[in-house]
Amino acid sequence: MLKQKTLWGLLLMVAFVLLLAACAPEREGAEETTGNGEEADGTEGTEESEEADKPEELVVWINDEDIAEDVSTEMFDRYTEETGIEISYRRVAMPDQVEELALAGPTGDGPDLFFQPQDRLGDVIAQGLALPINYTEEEMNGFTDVAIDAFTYDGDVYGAPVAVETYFAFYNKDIIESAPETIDEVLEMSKEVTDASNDQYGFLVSPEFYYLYSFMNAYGGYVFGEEDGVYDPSDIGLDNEGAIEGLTKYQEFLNEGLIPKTLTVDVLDGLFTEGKVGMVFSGPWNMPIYKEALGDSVATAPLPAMNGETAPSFIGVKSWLVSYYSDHPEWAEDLAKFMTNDENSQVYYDVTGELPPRPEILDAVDDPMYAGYTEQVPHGTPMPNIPQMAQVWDMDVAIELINNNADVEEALTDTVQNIKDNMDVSGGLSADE
Amino acid sequence: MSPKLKSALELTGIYAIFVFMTVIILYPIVWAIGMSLNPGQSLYSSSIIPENWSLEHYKWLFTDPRSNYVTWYKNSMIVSGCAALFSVIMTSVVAFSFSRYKFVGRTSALYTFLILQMFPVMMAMVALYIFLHLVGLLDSLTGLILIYVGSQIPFNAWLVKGYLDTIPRELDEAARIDGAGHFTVFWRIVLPLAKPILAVVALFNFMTPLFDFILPSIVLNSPENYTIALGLFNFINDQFSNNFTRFTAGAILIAIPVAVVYLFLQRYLISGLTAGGTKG
Amino acid sequence: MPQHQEQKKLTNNQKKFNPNVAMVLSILLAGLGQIYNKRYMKGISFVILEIAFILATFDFLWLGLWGIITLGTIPGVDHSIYLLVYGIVSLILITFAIMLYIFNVRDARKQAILLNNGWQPPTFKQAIKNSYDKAFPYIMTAPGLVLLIFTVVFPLLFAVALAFTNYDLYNSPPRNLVEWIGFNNFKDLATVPIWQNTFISVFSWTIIWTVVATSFQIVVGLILAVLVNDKRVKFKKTIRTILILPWAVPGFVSILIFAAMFNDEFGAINRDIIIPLIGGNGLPWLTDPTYTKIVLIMIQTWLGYPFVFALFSGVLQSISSEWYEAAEVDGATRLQKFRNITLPHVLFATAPLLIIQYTTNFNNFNIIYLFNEGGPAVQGQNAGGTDILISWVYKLTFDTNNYSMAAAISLIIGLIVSVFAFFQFRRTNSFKEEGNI
Repeated sequence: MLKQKTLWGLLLMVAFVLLLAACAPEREGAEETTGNGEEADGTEGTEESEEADKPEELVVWINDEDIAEDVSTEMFDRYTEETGIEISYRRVAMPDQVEELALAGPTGDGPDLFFQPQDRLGDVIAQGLALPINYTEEEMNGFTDVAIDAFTYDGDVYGAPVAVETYFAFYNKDIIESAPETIDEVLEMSKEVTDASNDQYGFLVSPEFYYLYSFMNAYGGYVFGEEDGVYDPSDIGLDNEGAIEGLTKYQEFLNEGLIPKTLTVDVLDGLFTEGKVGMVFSGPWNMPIYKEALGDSVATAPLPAMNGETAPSFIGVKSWLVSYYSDHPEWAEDLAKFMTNDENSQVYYDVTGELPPRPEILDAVDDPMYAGYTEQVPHGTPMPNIPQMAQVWDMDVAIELINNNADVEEALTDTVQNIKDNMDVSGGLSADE
Repeated sequence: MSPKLKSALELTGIYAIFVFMTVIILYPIVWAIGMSLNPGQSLYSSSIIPENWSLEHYKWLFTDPRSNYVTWYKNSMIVSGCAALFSVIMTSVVAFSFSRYKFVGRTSALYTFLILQMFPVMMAMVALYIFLHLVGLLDSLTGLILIYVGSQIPFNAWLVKGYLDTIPRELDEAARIDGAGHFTVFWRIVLPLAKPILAVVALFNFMTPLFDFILPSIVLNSPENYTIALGLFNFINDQFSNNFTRFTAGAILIAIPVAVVYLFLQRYLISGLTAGGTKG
Repeated sequence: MPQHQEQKKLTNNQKKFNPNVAMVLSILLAGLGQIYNKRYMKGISFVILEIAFILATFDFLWLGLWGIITLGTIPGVDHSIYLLVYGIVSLILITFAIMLYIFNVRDARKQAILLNNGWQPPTFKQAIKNSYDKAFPYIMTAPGLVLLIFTVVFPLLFAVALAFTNYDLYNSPPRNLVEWIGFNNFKDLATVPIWQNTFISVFSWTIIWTVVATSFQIVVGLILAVLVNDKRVKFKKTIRTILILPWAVPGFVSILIFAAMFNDEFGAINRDIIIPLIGGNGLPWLTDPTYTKIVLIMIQTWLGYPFVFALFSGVLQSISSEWYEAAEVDGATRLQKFRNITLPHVLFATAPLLIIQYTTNFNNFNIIYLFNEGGPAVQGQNAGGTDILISWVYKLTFDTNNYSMAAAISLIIGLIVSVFAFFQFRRTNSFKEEGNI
């Protein structure tokens, strides 16, 4: 009796489940998202409907920095003047933007435009959080190739490039006359200048993969093998002989006590601005800060030569991206293009001191402080923009291990193996791209 | 060795331990205060006795147009105040029912929830986010308060129930014979006697929201809605610019009033906790 | 609302009510059975309630149930995670509704039987009064219960559900859909080497951390409480105030301050204490896992002992001095008095709170994460050298977006802690029954 009852109950449940699975309900979100979800019909529809669905407001997430706020608000005001569209913005730390967008987008609390460096583009694409931007040939030519390449994924361009970033050498003319030209000269200079007990150092580089990739890449290490512009995540060259040789070079500085083992970026910046360091590797974001602290004593140069040539550096391009969840993608795109045109790029350069990837502006830069910056850029390699790059940052672990006296080869092989395992378990090696 | 000498030695030993503890307790606190008086931003160049001390960080918090410190402070007071008030109400009502009535689920419900709460649900914050959106309370202090009030119930109700169990039932029975209803018994008889433990509950639920930065970071989006812990945490969480000295200044301004309240309520805290937690 | 009273009043010639009819009717539509029983007011309000519930929630429930089963069918349009949440909310609402429905059916049947036995239904006013008496504890606990369900049970259900999906970076909405994958996450955890290694090493440190740090807290708290309680000590109040101070400073502030103080090169500990006193280059507090572990335990002791101290101080004051006097008459030594009177008293009285201390430390995310983010790094695993399970879960969730695995590990953590807590609570007196109404 009881059994029969349960059986009937089960049958009923199964029937109900099947029924539910079969009849998809009307999704409230359906109309909202299809409008801008289909990338294809966005292109042609824009022109006609431009005036019709002009939004009253666009939302932009800017990086959580005072300077970003300063420069953006200026452009926003001008855009409002031109089009009548109000811009409201929020400061969200760049590394948190992707995660917050994934959460806030579907509820309508997300932005129309957000701001990311290209090494996070893979994450963004894997989750489908951004829409491609439609550039005309002419618009495309306004940017340097490296910037467009950095934001190209599967043939589509996903960002309006704002700034091209890399690190180079800063040196303090009160301590050293000119920047040493090779890494061996750096080592010698460092031995002369360093007096660790007084916090006096010849040369400092923050112990992060980002900076130390220069050492690895110079001698033949690489992140992903590349063929026809397509990265192969299963081919990682960060534990090959070149990478080992490069970091062994770096380790010499540690072993001689020339670089403190628990150095952090904060400490490095602090020491350099106090005038206690001869040379550091850092980027344009520190230019105004160093300049303010050290005045004319600070100068820049490209990275010293390693393995016979100016050492390569990671190039990052920061861009505006159009959110997948934007209700007005054409207008968001319009705003992104507006903020990266020549005029506004000039404003951006003037305020932040970062170089916009526009030939027009790059050619005009004549500030001697930018010597190192502009000279370094051609030697750079863009950070890979596939999602598997996220795991590669675990290379910081290897650096940390090496800083703690581990054997370089062992640290690299183990870490790279780990990265491969992690890519595997997080689905990165089986993903169909 | 005479007993007197022995006792004196012992006593000296005891005091020595207290002195030692005092140093260990005060050292970080004094150090933090020293930090906050250093000019400059980074940790490395700061020292416990600043060479040229300045109040610039304090000034920045209150006067800089980019500083939301005062708003955060106000938000935190609202969240913590409401959380404390509603927690006391909610908890005492629940605890009263559990202590005095028989009903379905009485024996195990409280413990079931207490145990369920031990499951860490960090990744489920996403779910709370979506739920708050569903009920329209996202990015609002109300939503935050509701979550705090709800999630504190198991532990605190258990604590208060333990305390209420020690209040003799004869008192309620006497009142009932005099014609008092359920609510009168609760309000007039039981609550006044439970003040010490309710003070503990209020204090706990004032403090938890005040120092939590994880939940607010999920629930609150706009900087003008931030609570103080979240705001302060962002000072040092920034990838490129840690602002440790400013953080210590902001933290000290919130820690001092809290410490004063704690120490002031010490007596209640100890007696309430002991009676509540021991009877469970 | 319940209004059947046991009081039977025999009256003659009542119309017969068939309990089965009442039951079937109320199954068809809530309230019909009550109307059949001639309890019109109640019946109609039930009918209205049910219709209102169905009208108001039908679309949402349908979407939710469909969503939780399929997790969406069209990538880009269906957002699996939102659907999952809607599904769980729907299930909770339906559970509420079913409980009320069962109550309604039983009520109809019961009343029909009572009426047959000649029971006189109370007047409306009386009914309200009766139900108030009966329902008082339910009414009082209901708001709390509802809040609890949505703040404690609902996230838990979500985490449980996630553990059986493949939600990670490469299976994320809006681009892709999330799918149900059964026990695969748990299987991977047990069989894939990197998961297995990490899990085992993180788990063993978590256990050591929990036991050692918590026990230290308790021992230090106990010793200090006993010392302050000594009759000869003066300025008790001041001493207590100082000793309780670490509790009064916000925990996350203290931890961050400690992290700065223990910085190997630039922190105050190495610069101002270790190097001047001992010489050398200072100790690798943040770069050697063993040192970091030691520091973590010391800091947790600093942070956690005041609570235990406050608790024990209270209990010690309440132990009657007669016990000790009696012991002294018997010639007991001080150690004996401590072991046989103080210790049992204190531990027995505070056992449940101490258990909670252990479970809290097991999941003490703040200190591990804020002090050194679980670092320093060690080779051969995808967690830091001092990561405990909960901080590892945090990293999986927020650094590598491996949500489903994070959920699976959370479930395992939860099971361990709750089983432990359950048996410990059982051993203490906590489950004893009291209450008189």
